[in-house]
Amino acid sequence: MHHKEPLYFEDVEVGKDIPTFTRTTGIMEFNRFAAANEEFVPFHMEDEPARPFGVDRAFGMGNLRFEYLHGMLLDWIGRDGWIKNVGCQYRGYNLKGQTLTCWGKVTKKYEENGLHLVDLEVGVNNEAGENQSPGFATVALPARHSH
Amino acid sequence: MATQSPQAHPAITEEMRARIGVESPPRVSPPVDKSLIRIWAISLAWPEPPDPLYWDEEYAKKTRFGGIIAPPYFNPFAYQMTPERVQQMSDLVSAGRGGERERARPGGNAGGEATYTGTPIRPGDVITAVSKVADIYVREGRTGNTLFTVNETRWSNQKGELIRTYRGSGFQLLGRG
Repeated sequence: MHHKEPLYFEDVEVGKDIPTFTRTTGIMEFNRFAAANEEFVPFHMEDEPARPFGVDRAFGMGNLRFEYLHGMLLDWIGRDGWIKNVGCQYRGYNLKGQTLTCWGKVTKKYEENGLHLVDLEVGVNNEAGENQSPGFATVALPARHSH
Repeated sequence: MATQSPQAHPAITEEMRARIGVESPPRVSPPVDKSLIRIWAISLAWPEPPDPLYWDEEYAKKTRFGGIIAPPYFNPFAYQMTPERVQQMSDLVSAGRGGERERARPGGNAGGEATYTGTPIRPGDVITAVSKVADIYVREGRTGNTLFTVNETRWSNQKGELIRTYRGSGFQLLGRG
């Protein structure tokens, strides 16, 4: 998963999907992220405190979904690219045990201020195929031939 | 759905309007620790192994970064929480509901957007955060009005280099107000 080969701007095609990033989000994932980001909030850890939200079990952090979108982009761009911008909405709950699939589709590639940039539409789908985090991203990539 | 300017909606008080654009006093992180970077990287990759760029100095030296860096979304401000703040977060569900923990959620996190400069956070860095309310607006929807507050936070390192800007949107359901 840790690309040694760089992804070059020239090799990116508008309209193409990038490799997905999938995680089944249980207590192992929630608690590890809570430990990293200090998000020890009862409804992310136990089922009972989540019930007032109208759900039957603990649910994950919006920040964790956002972090997984970063993970997808980092795996795709390799070492020499960088994430310039990424954003998403949080819709619905990422319930304990659900599998999340982060996806991205290239919408535009262009040069700006000497950078080779690629825009993407991104999202995080739950098992039912509902996009719970519609979003967008821009990554900067190395070019084989700088102009 | 229609968006109204802050001036237009009665739910946005004079006091709220006055906060827009006013920067908070800077918050300064403790020096970034390699061990916390590694823990962050594990949480990102789990159950797969974490990227050695975030914990293996020998490996990281051979990359263009010349040493360990933190993943882009790493938070150097963790572990400054207080029990009172945890309680506040737990009480989001009951806020504005007379303290009664009801089904409906009156507020929460609507989304976020991070813009990076490409300068990474490195072990030993001391990050300074400056926040402000960037925008407050009301959106009308089918089930009632929702108040959105956009907070913008800029992180810089000890050299004054900008690392990232984060815009987070919080929402609060106003009902039919």
